[in-house]
Amino acid sequence: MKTLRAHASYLFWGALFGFIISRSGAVRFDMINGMFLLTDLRLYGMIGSAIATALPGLLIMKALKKRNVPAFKKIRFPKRSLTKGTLPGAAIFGLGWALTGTCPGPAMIQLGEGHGSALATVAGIFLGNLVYGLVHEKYFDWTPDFCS
Amino acid sequence: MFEKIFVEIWPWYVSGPAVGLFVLAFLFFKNRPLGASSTYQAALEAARGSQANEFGTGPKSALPIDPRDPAPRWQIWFLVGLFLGGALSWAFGGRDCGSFSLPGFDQFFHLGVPGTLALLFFGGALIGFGTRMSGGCTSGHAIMGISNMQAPSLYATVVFFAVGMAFSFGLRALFA
Repeated sequence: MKTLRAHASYLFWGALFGFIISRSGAVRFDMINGMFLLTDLRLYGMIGSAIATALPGLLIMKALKKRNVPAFKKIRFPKRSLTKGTLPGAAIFGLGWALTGTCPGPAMIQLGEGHGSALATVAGIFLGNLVYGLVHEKYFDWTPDFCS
Repeated sequence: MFEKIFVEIWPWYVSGPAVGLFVLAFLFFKNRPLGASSTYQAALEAARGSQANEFGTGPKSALPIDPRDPAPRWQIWFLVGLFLGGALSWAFGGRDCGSFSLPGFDQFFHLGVPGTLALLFFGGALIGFGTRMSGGCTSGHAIMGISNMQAPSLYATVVFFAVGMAFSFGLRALFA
C-alpha cells in the first residue's frame, strides 16, 4: 500500500507531461516531418525554449544545492557518460523518429489521443527495447548508461 | 480562450517554456530527471519480475534501481500517465485527435492500413532499440541532458537530429 501511494503521484506527473506535449504538437507526424524537412520550424522553437528555460533553472538549483539550502540538498543532477552505444543508438533512433514522426513519450500520448495506429509504434518500441536487452547481454561488453 | 488552450496547438514560445518548467518541477518535487525511453524498459523489467538487486528472487534488473527508493518502478506509472495526458487532450477536443492515422502520415506515405501498421511497427522497433542503446531520447538527452549540460547528451542529440533530417529528405524523395 505504501508503495502504491509512492507510485500513484507519477500518474499525475505523466499526465501533465503528456498533456503539455500533446498540446505542443510534438506528437504530430506532420510537425515532426516538417521539422526535419525544415518546412515547419515551430518544434525547434519549442525544444530550444524548453532548454532555454530548464538550463538556467537547473543552474540556479545546482547553486542552491552547493550552498546547502535544505530544499535542494538531496536533488540529483545525473551525470551522463558516453558509452560505445550512445551515438550508434542515437542514429538508429533518428531513423525510427523520422519514419514514424514519433519519439518514445509521444507514442504513448498518441495512443491516448485515440490514434489507433500508434498501437503498432508502441508495440514496436517494446519489442526493440526487449531485443536490445538480449543483444547487449550477448554481444556488447560496455556498461549501459541510463537517463535515470 | 478555451479553444486556444484545449483545441489549437500552443505557440512554441508557450509549450517550450512549459516543458522547461515541467523539467524543473519534476526534479524539485520528485527528484527525478525527465526521461521517456527508460519507462518502456522499466515496464519490461517489471513484467519479467526482475529485482532491484541480486538478493531478490527474480533476475537482476538491467535498469539500475536503488533498493531504498520508495517508488522504484515510477516509470511505469509515468508511462500510463502519458497515455492519460493524451486522452485528456482528446477528451477536451484537441485538434485531429481520434483519427486512426497520425496527422499528415497518409498524405506523406500513401500506404494502406497494413502498410501503415507495418511501417510504424518497424519504426517503433528502431526507436526502442536505438533509445535503449543510446540511453535516452528527445526528453532524456535533448531536453534533460542538454539542460543539465551533459556533453554525451548533446552529441546524441546532434546525431539523432542529423540522421532524422537526412533520412526524412530521403523518404520524401521516395514517397512524396
